[in-house]
Amino acid sequence: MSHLQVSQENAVVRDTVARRVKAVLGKATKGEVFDVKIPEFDEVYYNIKAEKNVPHKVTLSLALPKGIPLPTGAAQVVKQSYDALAADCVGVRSPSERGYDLTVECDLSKIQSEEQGALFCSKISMLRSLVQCIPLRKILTDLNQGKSTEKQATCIRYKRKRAMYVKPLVDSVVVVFPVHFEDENDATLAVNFLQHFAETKRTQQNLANSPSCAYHLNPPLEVQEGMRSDSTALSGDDKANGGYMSFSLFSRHVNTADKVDSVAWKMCTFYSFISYHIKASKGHIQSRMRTKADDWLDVLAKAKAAPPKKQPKTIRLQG
Amino acid sequence: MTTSNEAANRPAVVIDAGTSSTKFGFSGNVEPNYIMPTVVGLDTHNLAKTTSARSSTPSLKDLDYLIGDEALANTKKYSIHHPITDGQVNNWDLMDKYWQHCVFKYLRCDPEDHYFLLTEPPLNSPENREYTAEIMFETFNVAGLYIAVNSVLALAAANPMTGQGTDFLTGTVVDSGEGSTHVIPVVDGYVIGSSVKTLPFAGKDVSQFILNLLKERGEPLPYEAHEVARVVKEKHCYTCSDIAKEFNKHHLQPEKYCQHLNGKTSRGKDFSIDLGYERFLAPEMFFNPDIYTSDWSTPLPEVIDDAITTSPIDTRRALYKNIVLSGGTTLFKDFGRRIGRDLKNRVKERMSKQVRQTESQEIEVNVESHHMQRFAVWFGGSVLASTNNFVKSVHTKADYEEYGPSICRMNALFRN
Repeated sequence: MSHLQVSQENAVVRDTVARRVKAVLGKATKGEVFDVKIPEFDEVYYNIKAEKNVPHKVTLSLALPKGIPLPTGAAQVVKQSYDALAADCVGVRSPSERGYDLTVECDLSKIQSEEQGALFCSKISMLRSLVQCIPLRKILTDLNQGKSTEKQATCIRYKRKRAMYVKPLVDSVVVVFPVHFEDENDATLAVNFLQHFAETKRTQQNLANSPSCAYHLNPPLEVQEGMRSDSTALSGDDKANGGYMSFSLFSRHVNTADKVDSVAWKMCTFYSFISYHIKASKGHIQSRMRTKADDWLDVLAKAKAAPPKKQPKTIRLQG
Repeated sequence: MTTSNEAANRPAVVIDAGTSSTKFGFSGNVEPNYIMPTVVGLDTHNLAKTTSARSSTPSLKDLDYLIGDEALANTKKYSIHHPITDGQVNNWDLMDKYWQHCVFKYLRCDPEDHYFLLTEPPLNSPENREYTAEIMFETFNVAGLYIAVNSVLALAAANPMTGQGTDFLTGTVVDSGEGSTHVIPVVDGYVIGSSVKTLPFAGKDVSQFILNLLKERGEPLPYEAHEVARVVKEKHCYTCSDIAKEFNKHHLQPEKYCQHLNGKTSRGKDFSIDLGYERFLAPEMFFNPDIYTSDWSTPLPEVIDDAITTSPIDTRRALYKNIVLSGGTTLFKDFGRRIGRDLKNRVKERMSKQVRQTESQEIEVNVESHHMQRFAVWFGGSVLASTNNFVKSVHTKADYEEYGPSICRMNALFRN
């Protein structure tokens, strides 16, 4: 796989919880103490805490970017989806840890086998995707169940100054990303990359069944109204300097729960995906510049100055 | 806009890239989030030079590579390359790729939002710092960058709480990892370059030595003999105070001192080997190198003594007073104590030969052992990057755009 897909799992969370799970399965009476704080892209923070004397307890907290509230019903969704793995293995603490939006207490004593433990660790590390994608998942599920009706575009913010606009239609859902990059060079590369992206989608036969996408320099009509009326819409400095990317999702793209999950996550991390590709392109350009410089140095090293002209020792008489 | 102030409030990314393994993670944590081998696995069909760097059309295959453990696990498809040799970056293309995966795949952070603290070996060239700055600011758009000398960070790790002024940044660092062993005198945060000493063996030689001893005795070693030697080195070795006495002890009471190592091979077979003399002989190679190699005969305490006595005369007492261990190979039990004892004896002997001995004070020799030794450099970076002074010393993106990569030639020390 050549593209870097942003995995739903956070490896640090997964591995840290896994250490504890292993200890519990090994019937340890004391656990390793840890208090790990890690940030993730788009200003999300995790905190994993565990104490020495209660080896089966791990507390995982999640903080969303400041100013973005926790989606409604998050606690319930979390409880339900983890209960499917093992009854009462997690509990959502209320109120949450200071500085965090959601705190989940895991009771590892409910885990019976190694396979279950591995699955649990993997699922618990997807907490962010579970919580952050709730609004989008709801819209996509409605689409799948044929309950979608035409509504005004809603703005879903996933970073303080980044948002996507989602416009439900009767037969499809349109997702529009205004592309904004701080750095001018990044924005230029992004325009290039996205135009190429849309072009490839149009021309490649084997991509015929994937959601159609288009690149626009101006806000697409579907979301113009929504953007104007929405008070949280991006304005001023944050106006898209890289154009707009839109995706049309039809019910065949979201006809299973797994597909809904995966589509929602891919939409939420689309920005990180572009960001990585821009960085990789810049790395590529730099490596080419380095190679070129080395080549020229080689040429310089090979080149020798022409020997100075010697004065002939014999004198030739003229005439 | 992401102001530098916002980045200052977030944890910094600390990357300590070593010859054999790289430790990276977010500052403020006690342990690095990842420790993985410094290797890049490139697709063998996509040989770096021919397709990527010189052809004009970039192909997506450029993105098809793995780093660290994953690369080592897939050697059939990917060929292994080492971006760092002997502490120095030798291939910037590979290093760039390595950093890309570190940041985007493993740490999963937006580099625009964080300050970065990278490490460099002592005596790194300023050009290398510029290269690093170029990649970090131009490719990654990092919010800020600080390049620290790894031995200085190791010093900071030894006494993180006494971080007042730069006094705590004076000492001798004994750094022994998997690939190399160095003795580095540091005064007020500056490395005394002319006095850095190197020993030609390190962790991998200790493993090899153990393997040789086990083979000589004819222990039934499984297929993964190297792995077994590593386990013996990490779990069963200790430093003895007197090699002859220790031999005697083992000889008289083998049931008390000999240990057994039981395990399973990767193919599921059980194996059991006896461990005897190699438990104390392996670390002994630092004190009597003759037992391992004929190329080198100066023991480690003597090398440390040489390093200190060639340093400026007014710094020597301070250097003796604060000897700090760093790296995985210094983790043997009582390793620090043995170095301290041997060094003390040496210094005392020299002092007693002095003519006017009544006038000179006794020299205090102190070897610090602490429980963060294994990732001392990373831990030091993590501690320093969480202080306020770090934010003041870091080179920000705005500075870089104003002055260019040359600003990273100098990295100011933290001062209060």
